[in-house]
Amino acid sequence: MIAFLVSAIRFGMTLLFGSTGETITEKSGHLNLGIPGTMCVGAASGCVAASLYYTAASGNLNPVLAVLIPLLATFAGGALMGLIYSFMTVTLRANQNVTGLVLTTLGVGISDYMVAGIEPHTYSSASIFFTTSLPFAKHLGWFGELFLSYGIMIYLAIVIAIVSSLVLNKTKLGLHLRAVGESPATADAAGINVTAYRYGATCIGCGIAGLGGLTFVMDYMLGNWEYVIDSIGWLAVALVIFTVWRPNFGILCSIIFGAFYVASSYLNIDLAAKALFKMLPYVVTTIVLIIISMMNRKEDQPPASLGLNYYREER
Amino acid sequence: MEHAALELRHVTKTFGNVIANNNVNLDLRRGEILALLGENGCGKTTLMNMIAGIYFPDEGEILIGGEPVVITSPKDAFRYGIGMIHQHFKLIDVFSASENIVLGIENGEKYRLSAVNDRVQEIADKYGFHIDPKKKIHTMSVSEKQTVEIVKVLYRGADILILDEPTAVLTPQETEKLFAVLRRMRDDGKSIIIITHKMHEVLSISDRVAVLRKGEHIATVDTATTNENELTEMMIGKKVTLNIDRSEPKNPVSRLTVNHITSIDSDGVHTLDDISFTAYSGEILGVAGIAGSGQRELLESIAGLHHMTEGEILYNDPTSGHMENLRDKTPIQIRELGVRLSFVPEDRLGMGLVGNMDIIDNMMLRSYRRGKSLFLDRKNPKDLAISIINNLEVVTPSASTPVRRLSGGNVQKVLVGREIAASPTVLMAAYPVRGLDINSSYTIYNLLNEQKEKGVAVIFVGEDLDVLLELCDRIMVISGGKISGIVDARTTTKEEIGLLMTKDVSHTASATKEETKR
Repeated sequence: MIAFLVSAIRFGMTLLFGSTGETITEKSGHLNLGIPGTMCVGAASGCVAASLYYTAASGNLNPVLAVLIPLLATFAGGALMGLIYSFMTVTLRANQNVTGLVLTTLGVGISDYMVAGIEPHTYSSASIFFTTSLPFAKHLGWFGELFLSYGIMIYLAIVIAIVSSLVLNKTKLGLHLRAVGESPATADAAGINVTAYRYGATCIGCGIAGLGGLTFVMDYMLGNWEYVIDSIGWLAVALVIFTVWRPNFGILCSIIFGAFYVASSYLNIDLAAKALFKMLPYVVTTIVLIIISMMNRKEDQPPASLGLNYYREER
Repeated sequence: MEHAALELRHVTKTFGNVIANNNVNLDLRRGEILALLGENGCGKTTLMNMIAGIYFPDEGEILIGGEPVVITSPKDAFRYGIGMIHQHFKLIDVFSASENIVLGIENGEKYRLSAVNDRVQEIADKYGFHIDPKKKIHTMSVSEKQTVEIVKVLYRGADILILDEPTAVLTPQETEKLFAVLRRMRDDGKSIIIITHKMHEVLSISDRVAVLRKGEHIATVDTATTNENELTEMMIGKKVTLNIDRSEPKNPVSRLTVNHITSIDSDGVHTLDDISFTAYSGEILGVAGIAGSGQRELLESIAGLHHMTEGEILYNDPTSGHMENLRDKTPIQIRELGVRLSFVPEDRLGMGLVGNMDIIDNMMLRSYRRGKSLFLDRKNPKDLAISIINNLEVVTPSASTPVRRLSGGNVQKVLVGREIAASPTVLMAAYPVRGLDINSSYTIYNLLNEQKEKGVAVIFVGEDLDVLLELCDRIMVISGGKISGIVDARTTTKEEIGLLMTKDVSHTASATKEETKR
């Protein structure tokens, strides 16, 4: 049971990066369907950076640098995808849905190419530093295993979700960002730089989402590249709806999603039933969407301008 | 002598070929309420938007307290203590009053919502507003939202407040409350410009009145020394002769009888209030009124696109002689009943035509249901498109050019041409000449006259009173969703219509009795 929960949390936190990043992006009014591609590119950037560091250090890895270098590279790779998205939708005024889907297909293609060109052992060797937990965790029984046995990325996901939630709800920065996503014209009239907020939120959000891809490879898969990161990205996009656009609530929601996803491996059931479990996240997302639409509480709705580009001339 | 709080000198603003404001001079004193009066499209809002930093004047200068200033953004305007309350509120629904008020303020202070709440309450108490700082906008009434907008500019320390038609959305009681607050702000030394069409409000709230007509400043007068007739005359000007042909109606029969229709919108405002009239065949019935007085709702109700709360619309079917009630029928049901209504909506490209489709496809929007085979019949629509292009002199590279690439006048010709081609018995046209040049306008007038001579009952919603007076047989004036009068276009005067347009009929007994001249 404990092992099941630990696995659910590890997988859930991978999703949490994606959903927190996408929530920040969506709060600015950008419906970024490029998240799956962004997570792929993020993961691939991290692997390439880890590999380069491995070569440069001739295999003698410094634990801090082995984590920090891929982490920063991943964030940069994700943010670059956000920059492309913002450039397309804000500056070139391309349709958001089309842009997102293009970035997803592009991201999957690019990441496969990036990873195909490097030796697996050069990046998988960094994985051990990502999964290192506190040394005294194993002496604390079930408590240690359930709460303290994880690698750094798992805790980082939770910290980012909590910080994002505080920034969104308790600071003027967050107030302005939410205003941009709700009504860019109103924000513009109030003197808020809509373009800057949309670029900024999208790049940061994509950077965070990218970390989800890295976490999947380095932590959950223990350093093995697996060609399913894009499907995890879609799960993260669904998770945003499940969390009703609240990163703090997302911590719990992501564990639920994670539990659904890994449940099949811990249950002695046949293949068809396993597929059923993997389907559950999408089913509950649909149900949540139906419920929030039926209740029609203004506070639970997506940002009012989600998916809409803003041009000042259209007053 | 003390400098004026705000002064405009020789301000001119053009949009393309249209002159919105021409050489306007205006001054606003400290501690006064100045009413800005003028017809629709006379440039009042444009002028105010230049002060608020939304537009930038082409020529002329703006002075604050005697010093010339450059205002290029709403932020600049705030810096000079100018705050504008727009007609359409710029508020975020899911935010509380305080969150909306503090939005966009970068004063380096730590962001604490409770402190904002306290300041908001303080301002409200000072001027006698009622506001709950924590209440979410989407749960507020229109009047509460307006209060938030006003507190928003006061919070930013505005000394000059501009209110664009603040009473348009308020009930008489709410208007009284607003005026009490405005007077208190004036006594506190604030300078206020209020844009309004309602003459009795101008007379009751303002210290001085500035009148604009066709983008030009006509005069600024002391409210105490003027009266309604003088202001109306300044506002609408002398009659201009246009030489539009007008024939006598032939064998008029009542075609459309509207009985007591009422419509209430989602905010609880009466957009239509007990409207009754009859449209006759072979005549043009003009509809005059300040924009947003219910014209759109009226036409949409007849066309079956707008839900009425009460009333009925009786249509006298010329082929069968039966009376049909159009109420609560869908536009398609109305067609199936043999009732032919052609409708030219106000928003040409929004509701009338599909911009990305070509002229032929737009013709098909009205005819595709008649098709019998699996594939669409493109031949007839194509012939129709070509005949419209030739007859109405539509300037277009070809019949297969997307209509959004045509100029406004040509788009309008395509739309009116298509509606007329359906050989209607009732033709409704809303602002069909808006934005058109003189020649195109006359083409449209002739088209409407042709329809009238064919025995069509034409309902023409217009904004230019000179045109209404020369084109129409009768003119119905609506004000605030009510009919303030139906007059004979041949004998009435511009002044009479002007007074009816600004007349407040909310308290008077039903002035909607259809006159019985026939």
